[in-house]
Amino acid sequence: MNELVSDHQNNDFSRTVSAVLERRLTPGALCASPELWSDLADVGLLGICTDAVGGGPRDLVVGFDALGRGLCPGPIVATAALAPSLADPLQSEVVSGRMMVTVTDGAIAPWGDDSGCVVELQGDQGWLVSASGPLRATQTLTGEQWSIGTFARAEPLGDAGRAFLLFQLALSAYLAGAAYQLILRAADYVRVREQFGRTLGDFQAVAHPLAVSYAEISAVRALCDGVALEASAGPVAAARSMALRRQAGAAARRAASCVHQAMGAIGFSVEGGVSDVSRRIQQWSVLPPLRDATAAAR
Amino acid sequence: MLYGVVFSAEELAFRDSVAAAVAAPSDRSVRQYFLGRGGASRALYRELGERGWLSLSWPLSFGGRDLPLSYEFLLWDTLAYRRACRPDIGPGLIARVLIEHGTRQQQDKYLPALAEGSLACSLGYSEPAAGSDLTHLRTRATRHGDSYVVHGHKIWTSEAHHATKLWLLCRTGDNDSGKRGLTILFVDLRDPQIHISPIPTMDGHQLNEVVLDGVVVPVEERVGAEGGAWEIIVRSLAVERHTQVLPGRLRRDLEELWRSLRDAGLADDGWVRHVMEELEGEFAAVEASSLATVSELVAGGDAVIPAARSKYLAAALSQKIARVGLDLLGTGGVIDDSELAFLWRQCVAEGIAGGTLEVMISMLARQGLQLGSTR
Repeated sequence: MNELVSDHQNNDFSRTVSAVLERRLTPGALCASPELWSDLADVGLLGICTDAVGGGPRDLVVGFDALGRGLCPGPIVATAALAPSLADPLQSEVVSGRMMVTVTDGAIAPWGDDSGCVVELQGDQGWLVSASGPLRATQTLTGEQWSIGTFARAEPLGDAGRAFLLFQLALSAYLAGAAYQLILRAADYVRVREQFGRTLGDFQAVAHPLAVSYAEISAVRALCDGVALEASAGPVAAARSMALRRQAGAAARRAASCVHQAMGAIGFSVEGGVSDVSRRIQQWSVLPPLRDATAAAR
Repeated sequence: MLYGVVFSAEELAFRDSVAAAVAAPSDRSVRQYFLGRGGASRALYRELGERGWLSLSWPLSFGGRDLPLSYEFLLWDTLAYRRACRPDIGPGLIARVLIEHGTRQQQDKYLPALAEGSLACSLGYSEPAAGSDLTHLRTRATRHGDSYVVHGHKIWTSEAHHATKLWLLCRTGDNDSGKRGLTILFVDLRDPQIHISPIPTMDGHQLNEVVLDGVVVPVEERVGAEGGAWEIIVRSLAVERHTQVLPGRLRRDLEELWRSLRDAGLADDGWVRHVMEELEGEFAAVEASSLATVSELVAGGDAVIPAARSKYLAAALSQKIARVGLDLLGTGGVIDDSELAFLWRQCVAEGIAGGTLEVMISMLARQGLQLGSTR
C-alpha cells in the first residue's frame, strides 16, 4: 500500500524549504522579501505542479507543511497553487518569483498591493480579475495589509478546479504545519515550567488538551497527504478539498487556543510570539476562496 | 429575563439608575472596559464614588451603605454591558480586606480615597517563578526596625503603570515557608526604588514587570499579621473572581456578534442562526450560574466553588463567542480592526487572569467533587 505521511520533516524537500526560511525569513515579517521569494522560486516551490518545474500535489503538501512550521508570510499559498493554471507569460513571472498572486472574494484582496496577479475562484470556475476602482488598504488581525475594493472579471482561468484544489491543499498543509510547530513549542514550555512543585505538563488539565490537539493535527497532516495522493491519481471534488480545509482550519484554531491556555501570560504577551502564530492561523483559515462566507467555520 | 425574577424592585431600580448615569458616554472609548483602570476609567470611578456607588456594601461605620453584594454586582454588570469599565479592585477586594483586617490607621488613611475612586491600586502577586502557584513566590521583605526592606520581581502586573499603590504579596518567612511565610504590604508605587517596565500584550495593551530594589516600607503599611496573608488573599480572590467576566459583558459580546453578522448579511443564514442559538443557550446558563453565585454571597454562604464555576464558565464562553464569531464572519471579521477581531485578541486574557481555567477546573474537581489531587 501507499504510505500516508503524518510527519514530513525528514523529507529532503521539507528540509530544503526550511533551510530557505531559516536563511531568508525576517522574524515578524508580514510579507515576503524579494530575496525570500526568489529563493523559494529557486528551490522550485513556486512552480510545483507546473510542467516547467514538475513535482506533484504530495510535494506541494511537503513544502507547505514546512512553510507553515516556519510561518512563511505573504501570498505564498495563492502564488504556488495558481501557478499551474496560469498561461505564459504570467506563469513564468510567477514561477521565477518575480510576481505574486492573490485570490480575492470579489471585495477583499489579501496583499492586494503586493500582488501583480489577482484571481477569483469559485469551485471549478475562476477568472483573472482587475480592480474596477481605487483600492483601500485595511489593517488586519495579523497586521498584514490587505486591499478592499471591487474587482471585475477580465478573463477565465484555465483549469480553475485544479487551482481550487491545490489552494485548499496547500493552505491546509500550511495551517497544519503552523499548528504542529505551535504545539511543540507549548510542549517544550510546559515540560520545564514548574508550578505547585511539578512541571505544568505533569497536570492532566494542561497535558491532555495539548495531546488531543497533537492527535488532531497529526490526523490533518495525514489527510493532507491522503488528498494529495488522490489528486495525483485523478480529479478531486471541490467538496472533498473543502472538507480538508475545514478540518485543517478548525483543528489548527483549536490547537492555537489550547496553546494560548497552556502558555498562560507568556502566550498572551507579544514577546512570547504565540499570538503571531495564532493570529496567522485564525486569519489564514478564512482566506478566500471559500464557497461561502461561513464555509470555514462549518 | 432572569434578572426580573431574581432581583428585587429596589435592586432593579438601582440597576436602571446606573444605566441612566452611563447612558451617554462623552469622551469614553467604546472599548473603555478593556483599556484598564486608568484614564477615562479612573474618571468614571470618581463619578461613581461621588454617587457613593463604590462603597455600597461597606458597613455604615466605614462610610458605606451596608447594602447586599447584589448591588455591587448590578453596578459592575451594568457597566460591563455598557463597556464602560471593569470593577475597581481598590474599593472591592482591597477595601474589603482593609475593613476586615486593616488597622484603624489604615482604614482612616485609605478607605475614604477608595470610596471616592481616587486611589488606583494594582495587585502585585505573580512572579516569574510563581504564576498560578503563589506559595513559591520569592519577593522578600526583611524587617529592619520599624520598616521592611523589599527586594523582588513581580510580573504580569496589570495597572502598575497608572496605579499609585501596590497591594504586594511578599515573603517574610523562610524560603521554604510556603503559604505560611507570606505577608501583604501596601506599597507606594511612586517609590524611586520601584522600576516598572511594560509588557505589550496581544490585545494592544500592556501588563507590567515590577522590580522592587530595596524599597523601604513602613511597618504600618503591613495589612494583617506577618505571615498571615495566605488566608486573606485566597478568600478575597475567591469572592472577587466571579466578577472577572460578568454576564453583562457576555450579553454585549453576543449583541456585537449579531450586529456584525447582520452587517455582513449573514444573520439570516440558517446554519449561522443555529450556531448563535447554541451560544445564546450557553449564555443563559452562564448568566444563571453568575446570579446563583451572587445569591449565595448575599446569603452569606461560602461561595468559593460557585465563584470558580462562574469564572470558568463565563471566561470560557467569552472565548467561544469571539472565536466562533470570527470563524462565522470569515474575511470580513479580520479586517478594519473589527470588534470581533479585538474580542478574539482580548479573550485570551480572560482564561488566564484571576486564576486560569485549569485552576478553576481543578478547584471544581477537588473541592466540588472531592476528586483527590486531580492531576
